[in-house]
Amino acid sequence: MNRGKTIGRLLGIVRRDPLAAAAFLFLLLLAIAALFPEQIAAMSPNRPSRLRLLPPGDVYLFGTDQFGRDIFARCVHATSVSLLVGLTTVAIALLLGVPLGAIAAFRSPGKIDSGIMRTMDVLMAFPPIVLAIAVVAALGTQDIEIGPFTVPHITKVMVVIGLLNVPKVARIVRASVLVERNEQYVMAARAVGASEARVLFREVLPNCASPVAVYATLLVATSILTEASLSFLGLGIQPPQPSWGGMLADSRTYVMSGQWWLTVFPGLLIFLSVAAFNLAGDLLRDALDPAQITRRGDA
Amino acid sequence: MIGFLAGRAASLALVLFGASILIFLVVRALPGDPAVALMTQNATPEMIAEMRRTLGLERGLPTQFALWLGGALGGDLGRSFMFSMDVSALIGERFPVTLHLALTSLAIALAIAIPTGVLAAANKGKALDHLCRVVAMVGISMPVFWQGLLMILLFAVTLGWLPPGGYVSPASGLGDSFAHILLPSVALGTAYAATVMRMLRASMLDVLGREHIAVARAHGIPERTLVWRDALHNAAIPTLTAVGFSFGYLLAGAVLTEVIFNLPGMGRLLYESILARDYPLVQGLVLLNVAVFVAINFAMDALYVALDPRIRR
Amino acid sequence: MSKSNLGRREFLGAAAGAAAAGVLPGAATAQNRNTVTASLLGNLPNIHPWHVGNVETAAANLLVYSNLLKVGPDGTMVPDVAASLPTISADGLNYTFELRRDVRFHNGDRLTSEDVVYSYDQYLSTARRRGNLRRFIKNVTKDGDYVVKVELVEPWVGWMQLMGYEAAIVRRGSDVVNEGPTGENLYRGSRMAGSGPYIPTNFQADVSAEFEANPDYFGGKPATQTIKLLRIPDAATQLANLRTGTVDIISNCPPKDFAAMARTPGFAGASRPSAGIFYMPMNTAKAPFDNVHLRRAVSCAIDRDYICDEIYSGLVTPSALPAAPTEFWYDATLAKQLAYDPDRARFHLREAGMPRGFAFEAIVPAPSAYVEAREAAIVMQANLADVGIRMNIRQTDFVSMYRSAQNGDWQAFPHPSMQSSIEGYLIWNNYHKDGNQARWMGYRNADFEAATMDSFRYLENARKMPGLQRVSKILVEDCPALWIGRLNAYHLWRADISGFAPRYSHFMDLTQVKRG
Repeated sequence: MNRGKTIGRLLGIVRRDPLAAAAFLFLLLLAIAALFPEQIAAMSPNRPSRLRLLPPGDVYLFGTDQFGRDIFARCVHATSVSLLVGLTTVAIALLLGVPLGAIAAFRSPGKIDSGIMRTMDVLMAFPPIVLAIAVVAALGTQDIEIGPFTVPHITKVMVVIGLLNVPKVARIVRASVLVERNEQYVMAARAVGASEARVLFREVLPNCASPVAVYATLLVATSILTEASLSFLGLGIQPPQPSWGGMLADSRTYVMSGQWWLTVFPGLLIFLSVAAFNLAGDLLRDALDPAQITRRGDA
Repeated sequence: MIGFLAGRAASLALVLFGASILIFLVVRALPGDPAVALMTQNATPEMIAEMRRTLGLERGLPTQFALWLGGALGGDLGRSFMFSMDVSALIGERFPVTLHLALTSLAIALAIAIPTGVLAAANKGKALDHLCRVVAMVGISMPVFWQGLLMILLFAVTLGWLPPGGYVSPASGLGDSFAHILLPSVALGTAYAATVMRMLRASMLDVLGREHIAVARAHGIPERTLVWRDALHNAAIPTLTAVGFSFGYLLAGAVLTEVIFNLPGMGRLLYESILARDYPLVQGLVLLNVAVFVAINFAMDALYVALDPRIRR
Repeated sequence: MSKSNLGRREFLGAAAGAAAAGVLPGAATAQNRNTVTASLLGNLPNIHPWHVGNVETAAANLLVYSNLLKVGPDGTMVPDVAASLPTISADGLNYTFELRRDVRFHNGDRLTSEDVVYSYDQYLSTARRRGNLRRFIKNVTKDGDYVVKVELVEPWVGWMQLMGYEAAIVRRGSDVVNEGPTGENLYRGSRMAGSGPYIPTNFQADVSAEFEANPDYFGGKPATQTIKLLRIPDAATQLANLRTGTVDIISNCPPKDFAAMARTPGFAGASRPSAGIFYMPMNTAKAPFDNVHLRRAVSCAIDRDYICDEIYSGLVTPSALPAAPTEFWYDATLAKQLAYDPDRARFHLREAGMPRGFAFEAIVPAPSAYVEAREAAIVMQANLADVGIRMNIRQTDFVSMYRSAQNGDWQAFPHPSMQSSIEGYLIWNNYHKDGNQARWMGYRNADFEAATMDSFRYLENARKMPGLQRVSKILVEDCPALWIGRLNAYHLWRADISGFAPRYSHFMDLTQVKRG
């Protein structure tokens, strides 16, 4: 499975699936917004003004919020924060969860398996939002200085949300590996004398990619929303820095009083990104899973 | 199989013990003092010391832990600092609410996820697939507090069809009870539906691509039977994992849903008890969550064994 | 196949039932003309006479208990169990109360001076929220069955307000420490502790409480038979519950919705100045706020009108002083010195040797009571940035904040706070060396202490004035806090409710409420 072939297959799928193409285009736009917010939104995202609660119009594309701030500028500037939260937490969850789950499955049944999985059970049994509240409360919402380094609060939030998701990923990986390791191709690899690690990482894991990819793309969504929930409780990204979830949380009381633009635009952005990540995830899964294509024959 | 399950059951006790230590330490890692929480910033140092003695916090941590664990083993989870009542009595009041909410939410999640998941997989790449996937994503991409407020605005305030919140137990009228639990369950259920739907769709696609299905198809078994019976049955295992721990989380209580819909469940209580540093209450609630979770895991493992004999080995 | 059809029918049936039940809340309130339901935002942990969850839940307390004096709607003291206002000795240290002779507890026992002495002794030794009041109150004794004497350590008229605010009289022997699960040691069976207009009949911690009219109440049987208190922990949801008729009165709503809702046909609302304040104490014991110029720079940089009128929709009244502009001790000339004036702020920064500004951390409580402190903080942050001051917001819960305060580990704390009185309590509690919070505020000024104690001697505003003028002057000079504005008490209710209005002490008085 070389890189060129993967990309080629990806392009082929994009041609056949316009929805996925739109998703990729949207993600590209988000990436641009995240990298060059100032070039896209001219107004200051954080400066209050007397022009409060203006509906969307020519000057303020998305209207202004209860502090007279340009919602468009805030949405654009929030992109990098929200994407960072979504992607970093998933990365942390995968980085720890995949090997733990895989090793547990490969050593199952046994002490290593039960050791890992019981630890995961303990962690998973803690209600996630409560664990997040507890950890954020314990560490505080300020930036932490460790020697010459400053750990911004947002990093703490990402690590906390990421760690919360490790057990879920581990469990999914373990379940898939348990099924896969009894498949014929694994037996075959073992029979020709491949090492355990090789079998696990080269043969088994790639075939478990599809549930993991699906779950990971869902995690992007739940991470963005967990940050929103933390913001609802005042523990998320601290003002004035905008995040989509934080914007929703800050303007939740306007849902019932008719100023729909305060919540709809950040909400729509969350929805579109979540949808785009998921569609892209499906695509990735098809591209990553050659067996799938040969098995189904219709891709 | 019995041996497997017995081994599994034994390890549960270990999980509970590990969790109890973790809970005990986590609540004490929170900054702030329960004594101060009860007395506000007006308290003098002498009053704080006195209150700590009253609450039994002046003892060493191992002693406190031993006392709590000893009590917990005998069914006594201690007395809440904030409410001056037994933790087990409080939990007894709150757990039925949370259980009710979790069951209804799960039912709604499955009612959405199973048909959309199966239809999406059976029509992969077609318009119906895209539609199902996008619809399933609406729920998961709306923060529950936003979705909840919108639903209250529409169904309670504007249309007047459903109450805006509160809880009525099924014992005091099924219809009224259902009317109260419906909106919060939809808010929670739609979020979980997306997770379950996507896991199901992915697993279905995997199964549908496998040889035995191709063989069955070649033998002329109708596509409908293949999809709804054979594939769905095989795809159930990985999906169950997602369903199982979703249910675990539902049972842990949903803090924001309970706040928005004013449901006196465990999530809200847990949040309040963390804010008040009500150690016995936090410990009791989390321990119960862990126990429930462990039980669900156990049930899922048993189901795996029943569904997939290969696991027994 | 038939099985799933049945399931479907059941589901539809249930949905129809739900739709039918949906009309019930409105109908239910129409039927129970003798029941009034009110909702609270704050926690409802118990119906203890003084261990109240927060200021809001004192509404429950007021229904059940009586006191020597009550705080009237405008903040003045009115007799309750006392037959009249007390006589005060010339040195201001001895108060004599004559009790009514017709007061009975809910179990029928007569209320005598012995109960009052018992209750005040218990209050002084177990009250948690007001710190050490023994510094002011030496002892409470009885003189016969219906006379109570209170002896103070130092002259202070404000104690009546403070204790009328939350201390209450219980039947002697009531176990106020171990009130028991759900408070049964105070309320159940023969152990009725209160003598107020309502008797608690049902209580579910943190969820709801129900009260029945006390037919033998010494003030006459209340007009409404049943009062229900519901806890609804979200302000927007409270409003939805009012609109759908699930509740008749709500304690709180998002400030921006207040005026529009009060004007809506079928609903009513009112607001009035209260003893609450929105302010930002600054830690004068620690850099950067050990420099008075930096404190004044902060004060002059804040656009209070914008925060109060726009963000809090006028439900916070802007004031650069602790006094509200409508209050007798407000001094407009002094207020100008700390009012919004970015140039003056820059001047103070130059005076402090920091013309380019400085940075500090503001601990903002989340969640906060009354109004969301975060909203003001966002505006303050931008105001301060205009003059070069960087305010980092750190949201945290109150208990974490208390810990920071106790450890002296804080710089600034913008928050709304409900007091029994500003001029009669806060100035002492925050800035007098004996004050409970003065320990961590870091501020000391002997002249200020003398001026405060001077003003504390007198009940009449005219005689308080000289002391309070000095208090205001010193507070403006030393600027230990950024005063932003005074909170208004505001509630909304359905138009068919009467006998109810917002009060100076903020929490709801439901004792006179009725329908029609």
